[in-house]
Amino acid sequence: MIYPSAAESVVVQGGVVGARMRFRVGVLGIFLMLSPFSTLCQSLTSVHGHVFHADGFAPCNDALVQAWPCGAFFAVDDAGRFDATCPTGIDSLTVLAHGHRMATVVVDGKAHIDVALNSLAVDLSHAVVQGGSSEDAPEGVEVTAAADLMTALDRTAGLRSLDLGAGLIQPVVRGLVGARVAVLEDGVPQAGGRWGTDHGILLDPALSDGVEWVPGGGHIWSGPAAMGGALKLSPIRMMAESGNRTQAAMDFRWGDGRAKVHALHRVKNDKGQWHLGLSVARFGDRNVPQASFEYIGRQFVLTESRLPNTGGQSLHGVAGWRWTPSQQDVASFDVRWSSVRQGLFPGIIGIPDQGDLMGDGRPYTVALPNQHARRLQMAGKWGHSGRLDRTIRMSFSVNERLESAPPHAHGFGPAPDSDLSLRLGEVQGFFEGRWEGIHGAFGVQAEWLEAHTQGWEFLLPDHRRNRISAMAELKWSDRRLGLRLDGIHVAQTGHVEPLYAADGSVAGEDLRAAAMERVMPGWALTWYQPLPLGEEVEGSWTLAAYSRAPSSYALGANGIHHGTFRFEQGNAALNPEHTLEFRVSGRSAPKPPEATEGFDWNAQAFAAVHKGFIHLTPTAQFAPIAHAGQIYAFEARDAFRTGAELGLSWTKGRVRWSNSATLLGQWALETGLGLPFTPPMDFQSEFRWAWGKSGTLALRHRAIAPATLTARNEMTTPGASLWGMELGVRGQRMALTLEADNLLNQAWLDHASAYRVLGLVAQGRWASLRFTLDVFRADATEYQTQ
Amino acid sequence: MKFNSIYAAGFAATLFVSCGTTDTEPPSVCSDVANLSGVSSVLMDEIDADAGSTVTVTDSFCDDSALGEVRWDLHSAEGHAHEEGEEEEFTLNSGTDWSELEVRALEGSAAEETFTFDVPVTARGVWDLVVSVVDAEGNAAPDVIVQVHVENDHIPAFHLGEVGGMNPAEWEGEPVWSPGSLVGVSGLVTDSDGLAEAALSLIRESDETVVWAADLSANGDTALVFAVDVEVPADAEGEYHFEMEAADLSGVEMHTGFHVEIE
Repeated sequence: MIYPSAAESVVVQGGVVGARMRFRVGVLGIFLMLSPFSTLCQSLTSVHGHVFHADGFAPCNDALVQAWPCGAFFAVDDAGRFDATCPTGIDSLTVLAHGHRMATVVVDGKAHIDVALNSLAVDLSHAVVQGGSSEDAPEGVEVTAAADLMTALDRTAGLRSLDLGAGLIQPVVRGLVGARVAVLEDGVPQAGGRWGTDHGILLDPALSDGVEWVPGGGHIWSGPAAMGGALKLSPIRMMAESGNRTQAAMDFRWGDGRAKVHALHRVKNDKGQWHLGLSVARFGDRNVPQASFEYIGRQFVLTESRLPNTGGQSLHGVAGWRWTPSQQDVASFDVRWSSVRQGLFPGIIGIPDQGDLMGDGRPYTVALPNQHARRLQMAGKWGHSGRLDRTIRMSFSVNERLESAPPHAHGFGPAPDSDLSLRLGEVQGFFEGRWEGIHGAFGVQAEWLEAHTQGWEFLLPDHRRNRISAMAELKWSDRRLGLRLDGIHVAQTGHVEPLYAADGSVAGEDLRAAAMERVMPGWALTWYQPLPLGEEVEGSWTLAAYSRAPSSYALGANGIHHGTFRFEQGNAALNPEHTLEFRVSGRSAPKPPEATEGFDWNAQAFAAVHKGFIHLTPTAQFAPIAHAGQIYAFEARDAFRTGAELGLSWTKGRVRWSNSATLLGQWALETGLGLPFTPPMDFQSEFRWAWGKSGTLALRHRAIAPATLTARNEMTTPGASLWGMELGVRGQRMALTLEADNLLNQAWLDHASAYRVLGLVAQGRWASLRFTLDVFRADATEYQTQ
Repeated sequence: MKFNSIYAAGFAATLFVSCGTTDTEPPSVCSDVANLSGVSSVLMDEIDADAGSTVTVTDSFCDDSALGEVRWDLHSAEGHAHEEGEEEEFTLNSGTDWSELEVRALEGSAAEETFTFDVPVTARGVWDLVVSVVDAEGNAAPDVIVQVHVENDHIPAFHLGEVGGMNPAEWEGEPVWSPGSLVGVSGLVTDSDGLAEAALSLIRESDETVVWAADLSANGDTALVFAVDVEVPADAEGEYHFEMEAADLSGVEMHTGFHVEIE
């Protein structure tokens, strides 16, 4: 019997071995040892792999790996990954972790080894894969915390808010908005007429556990709509320990008289947690430092320095529970509801009457025109950790958006007998199944949406949109390779209206929409690669190629869109657009807690080439109906986009000075003109001083460059310089903050605002007083107080 | 890394060089106003017209490349001023439902077009004629607006003296009345054919309910002076319209009025 050495893999057992056989085996063994192409006989100098818990298969991120014969120790990272090297080669590995049985593994020529450690005691705190999970976006950037969504977006480099008032806010991500930005609540995309730039998203970040944005497209789990990026809201997390926690805040803002209250309460016992949250706000007409404005050659007066009829109310709520029936299982269920009702500036429905702009001394009254958006969503999630972590998500939501306006007819025909200009009702279902292991993940998503429209202002017909996607993601080291394949089915009904003659009689039919049904493929291929830039710098780059199918609005629109003040026309023959995008990011490595002074920096940049970029462009035709103006039609034209977000901060003692800059350029290649609503360069600076034990004083400045990169017929916008300040006192459980913005009450035009086309300036000076509370009723939790 | 940066910059530069260029110059209304005699143009300060007549507006349109379409939009001018500081006379408009809309394709880089419309015999007051032009690329010219003053001898005419103790010409914006108040309205109704009937009313706009009304004794007079006290209901609130109607002995009817806010 021949006993092979560790370098050999040949084993011969049993029986009498003849001399000839021994010679042949010996020659073979020598050959194998000397063969430069055989890894089986080489002693490896580097071995990498993962350490995980045998029970649950979660990464064991506190393990140590000792390599033999050199005896060097190597720590694993958060994903349980290790990289062991020995100059003299590695024969075996010893793996140790507190609370687990030591394991010794023979390398046996393998370059990659995964080691399972058995616990000495069976007790896992949770069964969720940490770090490196497909649930985490490595490019994610935290959205700056603020009292409201609009402020949070405007203070985060790379983001802007597009609004028609305090209740109707859309995120603008790297210059893209609406159906090009995915809004995800725990991975579930939000519906509700997302294609409309005047359709605010229905959520309050205060009822989630954090908001981050993920730049660019090609993120395979964020859906094909995430082209500019995705706004991701974290679900309300389960507390680590039993007890209950109440977070609440109240604030009042002088300027538009906004009063807001929110509370979020969680109770955890044994294996379950329930939570209930409510957010209520009431706001008045927006204050603007403007006494008059000009629109279509006409002069209008604003008597109260307010935009009449821009007040409203908002209500958001969440109720749900979390449950861990076993160490490997986590289940959750949430019900979310929202109701936002807000007036719209009278000019939104055409040329306003001066009488409508006089104001009535009642800034909170919501008159015509107005918008009322509501939603109800039920979402459930179940996760099971094992050799493959499984996550199932399901969601069902009902959305309704009512746009009301003084009844009017465009041209001949009877005046409508109701105020309802447009009702958009949507029912959406979403399903996701995800399986994830150490080396990758795969899954499926299915989404269906059915929309019905009503009202006397036809804009788009009833439509359906269904999607099925298959995703696969490969992970090794910190790299990721992702692939998503989509099948998208879109359909719309036809719509015909009577055509009236001058005497009011019906003279024929006006075909506003033709029935259509199509299936479109989609795909995304993404490579994410960390960049080794040394110990002081962390970096990464991403190359993504992806497609995006046109929205149902781009396919079927044909009417006056009150929210954008123009006639918009879709094209049922539009094809999916294709994009090649490159992103790079870098930042200074995180400092240890005892060494936070000094400079920190971060930078992100991107460049993207779009083939057949679908966007609204003015045509050489006027709409066939009165008050409608020029037709803006959806066309597909190649485009190029590039931009960067830069951040630099300096900390010394009690002082912190932070700066951020956002640059963006977007061009339609065929014409060389800019794309619509391209935000200009934005530079924000903050000087913050901590005084005493709990006080802070901050002075802010925001410089907005003139917007000169414009689309056809789009007006340039002058730049602005805005000052703000913040004074705060923070205790262990509560905080009081006085904040003010636009201190000099400067009249400035927001290039990305829906009201820019009317020549209306953005909000003037405002000041808010905010009181926040974070009360623990039982055991302390792992969370930091605000 | 350095090579990649150069490569990326070169790629971007190539992209921009290969960007097309496009005509961004908007078209214009290029009528020679100085040589217009007896011809109406949108570039005039105003156009005077008589009810029952036909008005022809002639203008030239120019573009550096190629014209697209022109649109004439004629509608009542109630409720706005045009130039900052401009004093607008208080005007009682009649027949404000009348409007005209025409869109016409243009060819070439210069074109002279005529827009003709018939002024109805029921119209009186001020109308806006808005002319919009786009070129073949979609560049839109700023709208050009001219006011059309319509005089009317066919229908009775109301002239308001005082409303609530104030001359309506001195109003700054809409009048505001209080619920339960008594508002004095005085004025004159005239018609060369003689008045058959005249009436005043206060109408709630939300449901067209008449909340107050008063008939005026006409007796065939060519001029009728009136002075009434409008009783504003105590529960009135919101948007209302003070309506004035009259008919002459030849059967021609008219109505006019003004918007009132009650709060």
